[in-house]
Amino acid sequence: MNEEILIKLSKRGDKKALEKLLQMNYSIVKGYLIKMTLNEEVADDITQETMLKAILNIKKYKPKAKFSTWLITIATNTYKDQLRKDKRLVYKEDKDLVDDIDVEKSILIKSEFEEIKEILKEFSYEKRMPFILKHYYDYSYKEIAEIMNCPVGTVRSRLHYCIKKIKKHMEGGSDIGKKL
Amino acid sequence: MGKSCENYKDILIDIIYEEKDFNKDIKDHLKHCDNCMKYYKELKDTKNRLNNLNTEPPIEYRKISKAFIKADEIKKKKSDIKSLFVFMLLSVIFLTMVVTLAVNGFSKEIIYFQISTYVIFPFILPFMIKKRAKKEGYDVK
Repeated sequence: MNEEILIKLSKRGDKKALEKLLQMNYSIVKGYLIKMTLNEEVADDITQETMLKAILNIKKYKPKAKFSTWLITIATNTYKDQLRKDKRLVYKEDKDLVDDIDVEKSILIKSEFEEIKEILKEFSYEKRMPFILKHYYDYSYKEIAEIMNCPVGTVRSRLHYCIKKIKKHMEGGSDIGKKL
Repeated sequence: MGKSCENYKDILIDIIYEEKDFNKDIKDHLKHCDNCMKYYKELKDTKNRLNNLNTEPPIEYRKISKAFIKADEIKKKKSDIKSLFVFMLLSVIFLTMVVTLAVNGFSKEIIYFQISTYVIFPFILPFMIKKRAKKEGYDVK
C-alpha cells in the first residue's frame, strides 16, 4: 500500500494505516534526531514524543509536503521546545552512539564518526539543522525554510557557513572549539 | 562586473547539493582556475566523508505501539473532561429552568413533568443501553 492511501486511511481514523505510516518513517525521524541531538537517549525521547504528537494531530496534516517532512517539522519543534526547557541537552554526551548504530564500522570510520560528531556539536542547532536536513535528507532550501520557518537565504547562508567550517576543520585548519 | 572566486565557491556548494546547475559559466571558470577546481574536489571529498554519520536506526515497533496507547489515554482524558463540562453546563441550565419555573408559579407542572419522566424512563432505558454498547464496541444483537 502506498503512502498516499495510508495517509487517506489514517486521516479517516484507521489506526493500522497510521501505525504502518509511522513504522515507514521511524528510522528517518530517529536518524535525524540522533544527528541533531548527538545523543541517542535524548533522540529516543523526542522520537517518542514526535510519534505521539503525530497520532494526536494526524487530522491536521495537510498532504502538501511529504509525510516524513511533517514528522521532521514536529520533531524539530519538539527539540526546540526541549532545548528551551533544558539547555543542558545541547552538550549531553553519548559515548556509545557509534557502537549502538553499527558494530561493524571500522576503527577509522569510528574515529571519523567521532570527529564529525565533535564538529557538529560545536554548531548551534539553528546552524546544524539546515546542514543535516540538506546533507543527509536532501531537502531543498525551500523545504528546509518551511520546516525551520525562516527565509531561504538564511538556510543557504547557514548551510554554506557549516560546510566551509567543516571543510576547514577536516583539512586541519580548524577554528572549531571556538563558539560557532 | 565578473564573479570573483569567492562567488564561484559559494555557487559550487550549491552545485554539490544540487540547488544549482553545473552551467557553462562554471565549467569555463573551473577550466581556467586551479584554485576553484581544487576547492570543488575538496568539497566533494568533504561531502563523502560526512556520510559516515548517515546511520539508519532500526524500527522500534514496540515504541510505536506504546505511543498509540499513550495517545488513547490522552484522548480519553480529553473526552472525559469534555463530558464533565457538558454535564455541568446542562445541569446548571436545567436547574435554572426549574427554579425559574417554580418562582413563576409552575410548581404543579414541574411535579407532573417529574412523574411522567419516572414513568417513561424505564421504557427508554434499553435504547440508551443499546446505543451506549454500540458506541463502546460491544456486539449487541
